Amino acid sequence: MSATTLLIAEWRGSELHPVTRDAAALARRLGGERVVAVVLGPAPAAVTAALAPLVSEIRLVDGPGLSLGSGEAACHACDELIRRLRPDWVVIPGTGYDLAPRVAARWRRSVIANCAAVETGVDGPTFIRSVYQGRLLARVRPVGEPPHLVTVEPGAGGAADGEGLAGQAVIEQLHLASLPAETATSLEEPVTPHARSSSLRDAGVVVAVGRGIRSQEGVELAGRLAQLLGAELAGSRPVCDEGWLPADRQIGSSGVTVAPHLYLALGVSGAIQHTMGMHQSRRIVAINRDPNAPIFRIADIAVIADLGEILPELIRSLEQAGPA
Amino acid sequence: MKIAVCIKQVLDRDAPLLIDAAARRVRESDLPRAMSEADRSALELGLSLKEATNGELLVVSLGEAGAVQVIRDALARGADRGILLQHEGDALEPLHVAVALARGLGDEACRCVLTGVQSDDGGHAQTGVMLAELLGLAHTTMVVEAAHGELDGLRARRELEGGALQWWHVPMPCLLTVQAGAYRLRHASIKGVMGAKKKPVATVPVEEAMFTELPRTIETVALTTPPAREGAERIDGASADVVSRLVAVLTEYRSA
Amino acid sequence: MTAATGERLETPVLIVGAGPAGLACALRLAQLAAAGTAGTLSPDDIHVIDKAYAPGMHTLSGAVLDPVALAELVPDYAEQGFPFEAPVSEERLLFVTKRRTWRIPFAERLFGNDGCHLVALGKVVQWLAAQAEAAGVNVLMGVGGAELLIEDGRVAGVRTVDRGRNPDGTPGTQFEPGAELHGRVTVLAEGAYGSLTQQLREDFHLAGDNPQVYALGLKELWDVPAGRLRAGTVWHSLGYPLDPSMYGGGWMYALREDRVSLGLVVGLHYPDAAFDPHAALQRYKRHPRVSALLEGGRLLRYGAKVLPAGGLWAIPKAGVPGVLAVGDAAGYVDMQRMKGIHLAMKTGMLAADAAAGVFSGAVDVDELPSDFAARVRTSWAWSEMWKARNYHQGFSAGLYRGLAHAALQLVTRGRGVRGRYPDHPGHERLMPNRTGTPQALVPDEQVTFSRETSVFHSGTRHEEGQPAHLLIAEPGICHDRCTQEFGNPCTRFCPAGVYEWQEDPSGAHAKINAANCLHCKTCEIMDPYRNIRWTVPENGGPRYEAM
Repeated sequence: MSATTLLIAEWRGSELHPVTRDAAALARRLGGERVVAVVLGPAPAAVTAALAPLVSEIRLVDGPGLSLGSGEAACHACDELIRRLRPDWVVIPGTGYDLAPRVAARWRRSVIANCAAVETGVDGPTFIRSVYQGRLLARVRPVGEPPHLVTVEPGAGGAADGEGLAGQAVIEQLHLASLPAETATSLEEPVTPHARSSSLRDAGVVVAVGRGIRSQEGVELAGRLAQLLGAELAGSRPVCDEGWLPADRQIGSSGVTVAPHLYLALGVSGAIQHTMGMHQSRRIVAINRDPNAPIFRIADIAVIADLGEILPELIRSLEQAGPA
Repeated sequence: MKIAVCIKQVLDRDAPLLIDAAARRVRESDLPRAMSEADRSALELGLSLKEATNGELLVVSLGEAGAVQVIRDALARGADRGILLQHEGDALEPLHVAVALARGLGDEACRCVLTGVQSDDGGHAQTGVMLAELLGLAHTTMVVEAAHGELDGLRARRELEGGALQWWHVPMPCLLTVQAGAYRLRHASIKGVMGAKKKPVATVPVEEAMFTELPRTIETVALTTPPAREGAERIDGASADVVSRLVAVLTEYRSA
Repeated sequence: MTAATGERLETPVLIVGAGPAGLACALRLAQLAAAGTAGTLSPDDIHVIDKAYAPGMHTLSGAVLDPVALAELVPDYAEQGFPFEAPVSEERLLFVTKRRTWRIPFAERLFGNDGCHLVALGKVVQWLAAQAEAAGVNVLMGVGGAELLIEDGRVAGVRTVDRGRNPDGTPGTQFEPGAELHGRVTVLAEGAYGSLTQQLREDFHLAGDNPQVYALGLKELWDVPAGRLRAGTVWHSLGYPLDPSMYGGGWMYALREDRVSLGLVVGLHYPDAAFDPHAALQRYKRHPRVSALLEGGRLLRYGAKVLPAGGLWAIPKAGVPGVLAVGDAAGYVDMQRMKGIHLAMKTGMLAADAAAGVFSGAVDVDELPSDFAARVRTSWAWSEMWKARNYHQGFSAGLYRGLAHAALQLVTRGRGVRGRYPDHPGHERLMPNRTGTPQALVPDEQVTFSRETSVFHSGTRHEEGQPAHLLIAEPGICHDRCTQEFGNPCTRFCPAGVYEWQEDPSGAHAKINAANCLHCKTCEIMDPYRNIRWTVPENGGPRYEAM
């Protein structure tokens, strides 16, 4: 196939952002031998080196004021690359909510946004994305002429198989002499505040306590467990109503919605008001002494036990195992 | 200062989701609807900016006839007038929504347009930015706080990946997309509820002709429920064994 | 409405409640105003307030509608797109046990369903609200009436709910005191056990010959695979899961081939303190007839509301200057036919006629209540209520005696064995728990659900940070007396799980999840100690939409 895929690379420090690996894996699944990674602005050599086995070509683009975060300049650079390379697909990591829609608007296309997976078939690929806050999946196909723009969610490509295309990427420089000036500009360096409910929203691991925790002391124990697991501590509505956790730690339909890769539910019954806020968790481990608790219907691992017995032992075990 | 807020009427977040027979859309009739969560924050920000600048607030919604409900809700809370861009039938793709909104706002010459980051239903997270591009407005996204700033611009605080916050300057005319939960929407006072009836609401049909130059670019071919999880694996036995198995599982799962 | 100073607002006509009674009243009065028969009153002078976010959100009923009042109000209702679901096509009255079903022949006559239609009352209310607004009426949603304004022995209007109090009741940063809405004429159309109507009765010692009694309706709306029931099918059942000492029964209506309304009505005068209406509904759904219907379907909405069951004798004859009560709030429900919507609309319309008389000068404003009463007395609403006047009381001694009385009343034009059958307030019949805790049914979460899941499907929501709207006068009673005497029945009779009894190291106490409240009013009615008071919350409530 002669399809060309453009892949906008993203990195943090000198590491390739994991979502770029997912985007590259998805790009490869779209078929076509030509996957061109685009590095906007100056990037450490380690980034280029990490990209090389994943794609067939790399374009290192530079220009005045150009970086991945530069709105106008980045958009213009992408436009330029699309004009020159005429790709069928443009794959952009879903971390920024700016670049893809900007480019898409200029090319008069909608973005197939936040894809979780792609299925290939005789009629071409079908992208799978979450809608209605993860309660449903939509199968979406592009219509009409390329380029088709796709943004990618972490984990989308399927297991990043590390095995890229044959050989190492051909690297080319591209210098853009003039780029448009930025309109919106940042006023400071990003600041990470201490406790934020968004830290709960973005958390990779969540330890949640439900009514079965039975006391403030129990919540404190759970807090220790959360610490050991590098997790955020949260609770169901009854726990927050009791005042054992602040209201902004409540998960559920009247609280925060989370989608961590590990959700540990301690004494959580699993009423629908709560599960609405965490059903997208990748792995759910539930401990509850009621075998009929609805949480067990969505858990991956079920432990029917008394928290009062299990929790202290679990904490001791993890403390002994030492830092991970 | 003239401000516009784009608001969308969506199915209640907790409503049951019934997929229609052709499996391409969700059935909404007879189920409660509400203003999309992020749009509530955008509306509150719009109301604060209107008050701070003694300005005018216009709300625009693209939707079916019943979507006038969210417009009237916004008017009761303090918006000055509304425009319903009426479109019945299958949901439009984000580009077409943006085109229709741009048409609706085209003659208004707003200094500031506010939208939600994404809607509760489709969650495409692109319509606001596309609208900005079509209107030629400076823009920024993921805003959690904003106010009038220096040099005829807005100061907007953005929430970046990982929860970091960063203040930005955005020159006007501009568009901001606002995060869900950023602001708490004020209640309608009784005066507001009474006055809403008298505020003008224009209904403008969305013409299919708008899209002849812009054919479709994406289509939803099916909607499905996510695959049910396979039943839970039970860990039983003496508590020491349970704990050690738990530790193994947690250690494995906690790294993505 | 002219704004005088601050939050004092005046209006010629203030109607509390945007349900069928209030909206029929508003629409009728707007028609009369437009026709010039209400003096200088214009439709814009009519203000309807309602605590719900939008019309229909707090509205719940079965329902089978007799269109007689609708036809009087809007003769071309069909052309105006009135939202009928289906005409009643097939009717059954069934007697059921846990597993079996028998048909009771001929008894459908009781209900008088010829020419009636299945409707979703929420959609009817939305239609009525649109009609009223098109006629120029002001329908103000999200405005709750907290208490009546009483001046010089007359009702002068309504004070609306305060907004922005902290949970402990102190004013918060965005505190806004309630507005005083002064109406020359106030019409209370709040629905059953409306809080303002209750205040009116208490403050002015209004009572009927019998005390008012109530029944609780629990309803579910289901999407089912098409073709199991013909649209318009109406089934009523007696027997299981209620025991013969109780009044009530179940219903199943096929609004469409793929849409079913079903539920239970339970008289709120049952003796067994251990009874749990929500659990009874789940047991009902396990009946083979019902589960066959629901298998593979989806629960759309769940809800609950009380209805006034006392009939004509429970409606006070005396009135209070300045105010009228109509519909369920006044008690106009025909329990024999299980219908009240047409009576709500008719009494609302009669109130409009009386009010128009005040504005045209034909009636002195102080004569308003007696003028209204006279109009009701000469209308078909009265004749229908008269025929059913002793129906519900006949069931005081249980199902079988009740059926016998009902049969007798059918042939004696409602009289039965005596002129007026007496009645007692429902909560007085509650007997201490002698049967022990009934076995809990483990819900399968497909057809039967936990209380939490059910409440979730009512969409009920009350914003955080507002005071709890359920007031417990003496919290000590729960622990000191109720636990021993009745076993805390509030934890069972509330269909929304608002009341929980928690045992913890510091002792047992009641926990009130006010946010779950469906505004059904069961708690205040059934509380044996009269300890609970339901008040209008700052905002929130169920989100029924099309119930």
